[in-house]
Amino acid sequence: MKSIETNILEEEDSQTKTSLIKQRTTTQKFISNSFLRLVVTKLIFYFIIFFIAISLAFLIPRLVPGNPLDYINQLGSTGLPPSYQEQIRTYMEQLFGLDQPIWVQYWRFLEAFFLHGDFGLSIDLDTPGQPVMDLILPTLPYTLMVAIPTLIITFFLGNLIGAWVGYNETKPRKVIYYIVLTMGAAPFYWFAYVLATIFITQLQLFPPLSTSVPNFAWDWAVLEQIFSHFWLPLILLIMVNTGGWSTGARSMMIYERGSGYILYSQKLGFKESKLRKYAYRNSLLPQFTGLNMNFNNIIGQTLILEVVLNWPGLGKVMIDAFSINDYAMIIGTFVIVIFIIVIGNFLIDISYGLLDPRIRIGGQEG
Amino acid sequence: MTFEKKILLEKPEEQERSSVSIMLRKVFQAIKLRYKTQFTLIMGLVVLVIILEILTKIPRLSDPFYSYKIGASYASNLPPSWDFWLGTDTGSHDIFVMILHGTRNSIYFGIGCALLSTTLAILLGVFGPFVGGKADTLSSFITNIFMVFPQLPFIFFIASLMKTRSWVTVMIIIGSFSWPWAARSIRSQVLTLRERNFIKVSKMSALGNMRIAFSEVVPNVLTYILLVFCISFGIGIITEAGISMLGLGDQGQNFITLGFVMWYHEPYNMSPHYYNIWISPGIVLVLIYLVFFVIQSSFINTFNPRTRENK
Repeated sequence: MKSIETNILEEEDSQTKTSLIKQRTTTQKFISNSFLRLVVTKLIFYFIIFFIAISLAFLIPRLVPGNPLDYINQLGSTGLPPSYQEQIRTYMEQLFGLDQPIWVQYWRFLEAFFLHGDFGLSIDLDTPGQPVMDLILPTLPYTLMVAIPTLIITFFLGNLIGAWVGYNETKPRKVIYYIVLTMGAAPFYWFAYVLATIFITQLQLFPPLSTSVPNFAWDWAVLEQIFSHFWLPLILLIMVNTGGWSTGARSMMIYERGSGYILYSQKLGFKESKLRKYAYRNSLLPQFTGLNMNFNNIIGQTLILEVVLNWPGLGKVMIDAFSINDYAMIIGTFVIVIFIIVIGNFLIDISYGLLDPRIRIGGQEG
Repeated sequence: MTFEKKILLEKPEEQERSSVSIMLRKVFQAIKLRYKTQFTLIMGLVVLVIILEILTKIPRLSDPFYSYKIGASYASNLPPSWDFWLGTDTGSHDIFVMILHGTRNSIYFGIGCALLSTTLAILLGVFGPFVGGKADTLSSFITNIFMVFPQLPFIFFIASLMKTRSWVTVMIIIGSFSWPWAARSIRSQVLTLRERNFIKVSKMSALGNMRIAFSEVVPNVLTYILLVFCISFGIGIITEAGISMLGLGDQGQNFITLGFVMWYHEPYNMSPHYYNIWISPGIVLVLIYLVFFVIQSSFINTFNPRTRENK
């Protein structure tokens, strides 16, 4: 008896559930419970990653043999008597809080970062004593304005080329495919010099590398100057990163081309363009999972390219800080880079959840 | 008479030769038919072995950097000639010899990197799902974290903090950061294998988890592991060259890699008169990468029947 009753109750439950689902509007479906859950779990996951990364950024300099002060000041070379050197050293240790135990230092570091967004002061001789954050933040847009368009353009361009080759493997298509792949194989920092010689010294399309990029201002002349420097890193990153996408897209397209629904709809007499569209859409979806890794790669490549092509982004500040051992600056730039990467990965994951409903619902069903 | 004799003499020879050539052609076609799918793989491996064979013939010198010098007084900035194939630089180093040494060391470096990262990938990709339980969740969590961890900035960060960088430390840094994608793909393969019957049988016959993983699972994902090895080899070489080019690599001049050659000749970059100096190491890098790319892509054709049939 009981079992029948529970059965009936369950049926009623399911009926009410279905009616509820019918009553929902599209926006409610869009921002459903499952989507919020995805957002929250991803937020926690990326916060853990960010926390681990900045903890490593704090710990590694202290685990590497040698006091961090040695980077700042080579007291041995000043010629001062040893007692004075000792005094200066203890004073500086107190100033930077290095005489405290490591947990206190760690707590102070976290407190300064999370509450005030503060990394300390720069010791660069061009800008002595300025807060690191004020020096880093203006360079951020320069890095992002190269990296983000690259990510979007290479994703669609590479997948289009790969799918185009994979759907119908003719000779000329294959030739283009292998050219794209070879460009992807080239080490990008070396390729930057090759492209610079072609475009700057030979064709003279862009301004030479020695000229500096002006600071950002809402002025047409300034913007024009900035954008004249902007094209070379963008073109280079697109050329280098397209190949990686197209290999994956080609193999996915070959897989889709041989799958049942395409063969069936071919037999039914669908238009060729329609079939290609269906296969392309389906081959595109698994490629989204590669966006995370690719974003990390592109950020890293942009950092190196900024040094090579004299583009005033984060990477240039970072490498400058390396060369003069500007300790606070190194940690500051590193944490900001991690922050960009974590935010970017979070947004990519969320957008993947929007595109593929299985990602959202999968947690509840299983 | 002599003319006829000649014809008489030559004819059977020609026939013989042609029959031999026909036979050779038939044999070649038979080989090609038999090893059609493995053809590119075999060719790639042959090229690789030849390159390595040539490179091992270069004498290992205790201090190779100064042995490229060819007399400081007269031979600086020479154009490419028959004696010095790629010319010399201002320090009168022979570029060609330098690149040969750089290539060999870069290949060693890449192999070391690939060994390290493949081992890590196998550890987390194969043994994690096989031990099961907490080890599995832990390994997948670590993989996921390293997957989105900013690798290149982190490598710069560590490399810049080390005051004395030997190539071994740079290799360990690069190798220990380039495995997560490999671990993930191996893991997905192992997860499908775990549900197969032969694994269940070996579990029923009370073999230990580790033994099953070693004797049953690893041979089955061996092609995948080789693929991972090739890819991480390429990544290792390219990353090392990038780091060295920024001046963050090993600058000891006893172990010169292609990246070191690029960094050492940085002042020549983009100068139109010295293409021989600054373009050649990059071309060599591209060639190494392409050889490994050919081998790697032929792996897929050789071992995956699905792509083979569709071709």
